[in-house]
Amino acid sequence: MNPTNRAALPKCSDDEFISLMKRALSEAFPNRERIDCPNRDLRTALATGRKDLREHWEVFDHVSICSPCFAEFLETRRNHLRRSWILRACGAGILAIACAAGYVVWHSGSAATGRNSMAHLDGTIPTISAGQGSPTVAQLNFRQWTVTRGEQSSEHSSGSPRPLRRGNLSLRIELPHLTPADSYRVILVTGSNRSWMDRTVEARIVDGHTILDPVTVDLTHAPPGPAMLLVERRQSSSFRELPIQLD
Amino acid sequence: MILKDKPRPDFWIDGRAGKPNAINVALVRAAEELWPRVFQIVTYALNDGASAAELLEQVVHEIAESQAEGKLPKELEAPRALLLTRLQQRLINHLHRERRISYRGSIFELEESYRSRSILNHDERQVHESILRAQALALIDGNARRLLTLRLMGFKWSEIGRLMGERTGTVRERFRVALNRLIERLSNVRPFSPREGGDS
Repeated sequence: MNPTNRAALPKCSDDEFISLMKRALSEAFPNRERIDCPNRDLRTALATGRKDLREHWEVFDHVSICSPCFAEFLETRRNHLRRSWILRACGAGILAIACAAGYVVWHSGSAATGRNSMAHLDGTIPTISAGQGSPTVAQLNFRQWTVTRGEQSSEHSSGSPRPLRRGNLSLRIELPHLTPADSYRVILVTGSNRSWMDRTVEARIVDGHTILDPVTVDLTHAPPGPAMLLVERRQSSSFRELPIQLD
Repeated sequence: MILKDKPRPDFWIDGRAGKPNAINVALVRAAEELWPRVFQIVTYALNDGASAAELLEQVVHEIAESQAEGKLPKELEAPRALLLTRLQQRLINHLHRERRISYRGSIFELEESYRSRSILNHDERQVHESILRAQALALIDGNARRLLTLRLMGFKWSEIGRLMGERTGTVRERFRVALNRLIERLSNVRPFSPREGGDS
């Protein structure tokens, strides 16, 4: 046995052996004057995958027995892979930055929208506690409500209490017939004398009906049963009592 | 075929004594194709292009002899690679022999030189080992050699599968088999099987 054969046995991993084999092909076939070497552009195109190797096996076979061509092929391929990796990494980086920027824009926009909404709510319905969802429109019609004055000058109302379903409500209240348009203080109390609303609202006459501007009140947690809407005209000292039945 | 029955290559000098062995057509064609490169390699290595024809012819005869003895297959898979690596081995031996002959020095130095006569220096050993590895690769059959070389060149498994027209898993399996065969050849006492050849 030739001792160099024993020395040629690599006691190493596959990767190291592949590395040794690369070196072997880079040294074993010198060709200083590049005799018979295929066109450089073609070799580069094959190394970078721009041309199909299956159509140029003769070039591949030459490269595998020409050390300068083999070394160039390896170098071209390594550079090509490095460039591809860098491009992919840049692409991924740009995508990540775009995502991050998009998230920041979205997050700041959403926060601003939230603040605007709160400001809007604060400005428009400062005295009303927040309810669940948008208020439901409800009507209370006291147009036909009549008052009978007794001997003790107390008021006796006629008619039954107006039913009202509890919830977060936007109330449209029509005051008794011939009630003048003015500013009114409107209070809503339940049987336990708890006040659920106390606001000053403008009343307008529309088509002969006296209608208060819509008022929002959350009666979701109000107890069912009789309640009273007290309406007091500005600069007046007496309330008009308009009965309600909360369902 | 016997070379004398065919037109001889330009470089052929019929310098071999004794009865010539049958020389394969493919081997002669490979030698003809390689002649310009061989001339260039020998000129550079020995600073003497005149030896190129003789050396190449010796290598061709040597391979033909191995074929006749059954150490190498009749149909060579990569005759050009085999020729080149054998030529390189012969050049290294030639250089080593020349150095020993032309040695000048004291007796002590000469003894030291004799002691290390059979040992190549580090660089020569590295090159020689590389040549042996390349030679082992050249003697692997065609598809496996291409597969190994593609992987050495850094192609991905999926790319190799596409080029070889096989599934990625199959390619990986075949690569493993080919690599083991290559390692086995380099580690055997006789690196090449009787069918595929032996060390000359």
